[in-house]
Parts: sequence; structure tokens; C-alpha cells
Amino acid sequence: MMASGVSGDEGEVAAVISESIAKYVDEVYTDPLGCLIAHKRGKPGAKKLMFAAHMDEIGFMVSYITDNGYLRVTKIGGINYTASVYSHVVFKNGTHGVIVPEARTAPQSFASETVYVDIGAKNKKDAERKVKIGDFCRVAPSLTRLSGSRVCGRPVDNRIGCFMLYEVAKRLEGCECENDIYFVFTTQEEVGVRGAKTSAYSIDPDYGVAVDIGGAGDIINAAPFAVSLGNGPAIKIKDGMVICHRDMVALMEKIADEKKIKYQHEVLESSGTDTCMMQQARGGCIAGAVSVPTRYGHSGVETIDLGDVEGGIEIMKGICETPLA
Amino acid sequence: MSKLYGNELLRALSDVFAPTANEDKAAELIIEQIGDDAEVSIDRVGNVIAKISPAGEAKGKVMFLTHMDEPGFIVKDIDGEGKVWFKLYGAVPTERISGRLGIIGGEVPCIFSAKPIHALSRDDRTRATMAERIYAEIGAKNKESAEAKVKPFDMGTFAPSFGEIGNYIKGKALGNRSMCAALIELIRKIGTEKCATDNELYFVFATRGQIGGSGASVASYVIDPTRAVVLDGIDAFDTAGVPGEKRVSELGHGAVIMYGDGRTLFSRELIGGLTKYADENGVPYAYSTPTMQGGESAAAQRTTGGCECVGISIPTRYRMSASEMICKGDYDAVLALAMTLI
Repeated sequence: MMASGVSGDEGEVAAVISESIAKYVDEVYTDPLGCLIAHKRGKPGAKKLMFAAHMDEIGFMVSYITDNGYLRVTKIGGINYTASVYSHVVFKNGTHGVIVPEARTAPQSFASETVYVDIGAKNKKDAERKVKIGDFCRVAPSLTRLSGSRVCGRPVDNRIGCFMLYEVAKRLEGCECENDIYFVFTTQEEVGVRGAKTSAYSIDPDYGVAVDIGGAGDIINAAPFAVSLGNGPAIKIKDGMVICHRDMVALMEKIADEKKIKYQHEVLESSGTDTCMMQQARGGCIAGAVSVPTRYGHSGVETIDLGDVEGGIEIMKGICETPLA
Repeated sequence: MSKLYGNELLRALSDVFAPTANEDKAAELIIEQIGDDAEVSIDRVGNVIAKISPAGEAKGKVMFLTHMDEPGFIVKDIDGEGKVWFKLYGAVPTERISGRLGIIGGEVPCIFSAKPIHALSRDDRTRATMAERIYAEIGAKNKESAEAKVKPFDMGTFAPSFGEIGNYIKGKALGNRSMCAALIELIRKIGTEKCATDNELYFVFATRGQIGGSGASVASYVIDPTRAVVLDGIDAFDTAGVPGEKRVSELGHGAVIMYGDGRTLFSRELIGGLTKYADENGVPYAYSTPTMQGGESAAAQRTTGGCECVGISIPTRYRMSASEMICKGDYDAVLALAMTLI
């Protein structure tokens, strides 16, 4: 989570993952969009199973530097300005700033045109010594334990998914899996599920499983939604861009039942994940997803229950261990 | 037709009648102008694709991409008074249409006219779309005399309006047609200067850029490039009273090296390479980070397994209007930078 990886600039995150996962797989390589692919070879002729967790996070890109040394930014990904203003932001080169609304701006008018970043520069020239147009910044990362197994921070979306894939690979150490497994840490999901498209095209999987944060219906005044924290991982039925294959849903339920893992079903009206791009790659594949119930997504305080995370890891491990036809 | 150069080439490309999805005349002109300088073909959706192979073995495939088409008006209906109602394909801002000269089918001149806003009912006023307000006047008195010249599904465009004032050039569709000229000049330069390249070079003059870049998708799928360079016009709102941060780009400041557009984030390595070359060789440039436009960049970067992709744009004032304006110095800068990517 501490590694910087705004969509389009995920190298630092890829390096951290690559170093950790290398010993649990047969080869690690990147694709032209920067996706990290960790391949655990299966038996010859085995079906290809692709997992996808995106490395990128939402953030901002500097679009203009004013004469006063303030920065105008543009959104990278689904930024909610109400959830972002009055936050500490950080740049990869160690520069710090605050993102704030212009004075006397009503909350409903918070937008790229009415917010700016103050890096404490005296003027434009002073600012240009530290940042330039095109630089990325993000709300400062954090991870805090709340109570019991609940933690909050950012970017839980989707470093938790990356962590879960790493754990699956680690727990499969020594296992001779029949399936040909690709753990893909994708890029640019937040700006349109882009890395998943190209990596799925290259791999051309038979089965695809995405892991990402999902919603949670247990926030005060939330619209009716049957997923809540602490009731296990959510098996995705559909989101705004995919209707998961019923065979994949059934497989996940079977594994959860066998391992006595409590689970939930996720039916999301909107939003998208890497799932849709795997499903549509080339001639298509059997695709589904495991979601981590998350409160306050895309804010500085994304909140999850690590018990749900554990269940999700075990379901995905179970899919790896099930010879796929 | 003989080969055209410089402003004459720009004029011919600006004036040619090629509304979106009907680019044949532009394709013909471009193929003529490329001549024998490259292997040229037209694919199934009308894209013109020119190919130059390297002397030795090819290490990769570089695809230079721009689009040939301009916004098109398709005739929907002719009313009892001989007025021609149409649907527009292409994001032309409504306020830039009335009073401009158009040409239907490449032959029938017309003037775009608007139903005055006070003639709309109160309800209509708030939701009046262009389809309800704007029509074309072809000087016909009634339906029959109009139908003698124009029929439903005929396509129209703005009329040619090429002009030069010093370093500034105006005309219809110059934003992308100037980039067609740049690709033609690039092809010629590679031939005459015998430029060395390790790559198979593809120059794609795509169709349907105005409606999302489906031409580019097809070309990108077939070529499957390892590097893509997207060339197009970018808005320049550098007119009086517009503050710096709202200008997007400015004329006379060189080429625009794009960090991204509405659909794609470009390769930082390629951006770095272009910046370095520009700084070392005195090529004027500026950066831009818009989050709008861009159907073609997505097609270029990720139709197949993905490739490194960058955008170089020419600042274009009054983009998507009857008369776009560019600066020759900016054009030269775009050409100089594009050349470094072969």
C-alpha cells in the first residue's frame, strides 16, 4: 500500500510484488502495459486459469501550475472530490501537498476546476523545482487497525486484492497444480479496465477470476445491498460490466461449502472490475470474481474485515487445486 | 495529379470532401500523394495503410495513426419549404454551425441556419437539440425543387475555406488533415533521406475517427503493433480572456506531447524520449493532460496484447468548427518529433 501506483505508473508496486512472488511461481514477466504476470506452470495441455488483481490506485495528475505556485490537477480514475479534499497528498519524488477546494465553493461544486493542490511553493518557479505537468500524486497512504479484525486505510482498493493473490501463490508452494495458473497484477483498471484487456488477450485464458474490493450495505443509510462486513467474501453474481458465469459461481460456492467458509453474493448495479475484460478476451472464457466487502470505497478510510479476506484467499486457492475441465 | 508539397498539400487535404464513413475521396488523394514512396493498400473498412519495410530484419512494428474523416451531416428529411434537416456525426459544438457554408454530396452548396430560439416554445427551449433547431438552406423554394438536388442519406460537410495569414493556416478539418499531411511528408522524408529503421513502419490514415475510431481498431488488430504514435489536433482555447489553466494548448508554442487523453494514458518512456530530443534539438513543445477526446488512442494502445503508445498533437484553434486554425511552426515541430519514433 505504501508503494506508489496511480493508474499508468504502477512500476513501484510491480517491483514489490515481483520480488515477493517470484519464489512461488515459475516465471514472472511484464506486458507492454506494465501488467505483472506470475506464471505457475501446470501439466501439459492443462486449462489456463487467470487471476486478476489491479495494482493501480486512483489519484491525480498535475495539469497546470499557476503563477502563485498552486497546482491544478485532473482526475485519474473515479475520484470523489468530496471524499478527497482537505487531504494530505504525496508525489513519488517525496513532495508533499494538500488538496483543497477554492474558498467559498459549495461542496456540490467540488470538481477539477474548483480544487487545487498547495505544495507550499512561493511561486511558479519555486513549484517547478519540485513538480511538473504530468506528475502523479495521490492521497497519502495509510493502514490502521480499528477493532478486532477490521482495518481501514488506502489504497485498500486494490492492494488487498494483490495481497490475496500473493497469498494464494504462497499457500500453493510445493503443490503440483494441474491447472496452468497466471496470477496477473493488472494496470489501469481504475481508468477503464485497460491492463486486464491486453493481458487477457495475450494469455487467452479458459477461466478467469478477478479479486477486487466490493461494496458493503451495512453503512448507515446505504441503498439496500445484501453484503456486509464480517460475513465472508462476496461471490460476484454481476456488476455493471459483467454477468459472471454460473459455473464459476457454483464452483466457488462448492469450494466454500467444503472448506466451511461463510460467503455472500454480490449483485452490483454499477461499476466494473477486471472480470469483464477476461470474460470477453478473444473467444471468451468462464469468468467470475471474489469481492472483499468494503465500506467507504475510494476514500482515505476504506474499511474491511480481514476475516472476509482470509475466506477469499481460501476460495481462490481451492479453485487452483480443482482440476478444471 | 502531380505531387503536392507544403501549403498546397495542406490545402488539398483540407478541401477534400470526406465526411465520416465516406472517406473515399480523401483516401484517393492520399494514395495519389504517397505514390511509390511506400506500399499502399486500402483495407475492408476503408483505412489507407502505407507500409515501409526496413532494410534488414524487423525488430518491431511501429504504427503511426491519424484519421481522414471530418464531421458529416446526414440528410434526414426535406420539409415543405425546401429546408434540409439533418443529423450530425461528429462533436461539432452547436453554436458553431449556424451561418456557416456547407456542401452536400460535395456539390450542392448550402448555408446552415437555425430556428431562432424565441420561436421555440418554452418547453422546447430548455431541451431543444440541434436536430430540432438547425437545418440547411439550399436555396430551394419548396420540397420538389429541393428534392431535385438533395435526398435523404446524402452526406454534407462544412465548405472548403483554406486560407493563410503568415504562419497561420485556416481551413476545415485542419486538425487531423494536417496530420495526414505530416504522415505523407514523413513517408517522403524516410525515402529521400534514406532514414535507417529497425522497424516495419505502418502509416494508417483511418476512417470513422469522428465516431469513436472503429477504423483505427480494425487497423490496429490487423497490424498488431509494438509501438503506436497517435497524431491529431488538440483544442487550443488560447483566445483573449481565457486564463492559462483553461487553454489546454496554445498556437505557436510547438507540438503538444500528450500525457494522456480521455481514453488512454501514454507511455512515460516515450514521453521522456520525445522531451529529451526536443530539449537537445531545440524543438518547441508543451505538455497537455486533457481528459476528453480520444477514441483512436484506445484502439492504438490496446486492441490486441497492448503496445507502448504516445500521442503528439497539433494545437488547433476553433477545432470542430467550419474553419480550424493551426500554426505552421507547430506543424513542423510535430513532424520533427514524429520522425524520432521510427
